[in-house]
Amino acid sequence: MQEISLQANTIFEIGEIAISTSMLGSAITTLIIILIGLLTVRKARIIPTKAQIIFEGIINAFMDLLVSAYGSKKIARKWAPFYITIFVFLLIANQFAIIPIINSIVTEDGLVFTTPTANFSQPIALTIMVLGIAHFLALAKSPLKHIDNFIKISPFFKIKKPSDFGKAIGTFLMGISDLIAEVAKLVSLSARLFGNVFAGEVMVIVIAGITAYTQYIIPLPFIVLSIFSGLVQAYVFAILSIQFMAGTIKSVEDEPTKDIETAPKLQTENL
Amino acid sequence: MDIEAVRLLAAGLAVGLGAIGPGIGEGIVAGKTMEAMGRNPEISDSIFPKMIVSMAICESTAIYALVVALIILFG
Repeated sequence: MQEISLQANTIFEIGEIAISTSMLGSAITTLIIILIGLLTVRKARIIPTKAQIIFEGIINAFMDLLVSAYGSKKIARKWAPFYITIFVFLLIANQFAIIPIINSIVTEDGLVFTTPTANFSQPIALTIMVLGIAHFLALAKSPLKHIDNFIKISPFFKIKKPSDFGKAIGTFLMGISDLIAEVAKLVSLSARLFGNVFAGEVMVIVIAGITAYTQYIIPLPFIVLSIFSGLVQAYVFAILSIQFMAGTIKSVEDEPTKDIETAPKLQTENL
Repeated sequence: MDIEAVRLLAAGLAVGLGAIGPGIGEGIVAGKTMEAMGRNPEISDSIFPKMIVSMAICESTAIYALVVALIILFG
């Protein structure tokens, strides 16, 4: 049975920086995306090719989601590349285990090519990036308002009669619980992606390692299951980062920007 | 009991108990979605992605339990 470890193997070192299997996997994923992108764009036409249809479908689906999250088509268009990059990266990174041949290359330290998101460092880096950008933008837009969303001391200045004091304390405690919820976002977003991808891998390894007979056909359903959960997790990560980021940025805006044409359509026909 | 046996027991119990709640929750989500789709089949396409997202959120507590168990086993 193949050895299972939570830590990424270090393959080689450049100066002081250790290059782990997870980083190598990310770099290869990036190369694959660039290659697919270039091949698709090279043949791009008005009458779309098959690959073009897939990419345009992804972009359209995300534009709809972004417009309903941000409430404005202009801002949605500005942010679309960021989320679509995250989605496409995870889409390919989660399926790293099904690339043939290179997953069998082993040195004395262990596997050379592993799924990048099956090490906790990759999901947590993505999550810190998403939440960090959200808070940075909110702070840059209006620092006092953003801090006031979490440390709510403004009700204390509005106290006029003694009964307002209890209300002010209640609001302050709510702010503290929002602060904790912010940390919970960090943990839940990263642990969800890592847990699903890593569990899929461990499941296949365990099933293949029970006996010599279970190595060939028996793991297939579990591989299909892990492919499916990888796709779903890529989608869910992108959706949740849209929600968190739009929520954080919207909370410091004075009033929600909304143009009527882009508001989500109500499905009233055939009701 | 030696420490290795306790570790195996703890990992098994962590996932086993942690998966009860999310199992019930995901069942409710799926059941309600089916109900809504049956009542109004036209909106199936817009409900389905929302169902996937809410299922993934329900699942997260099971995933925490799984991560804890994996850390106990392999960490």
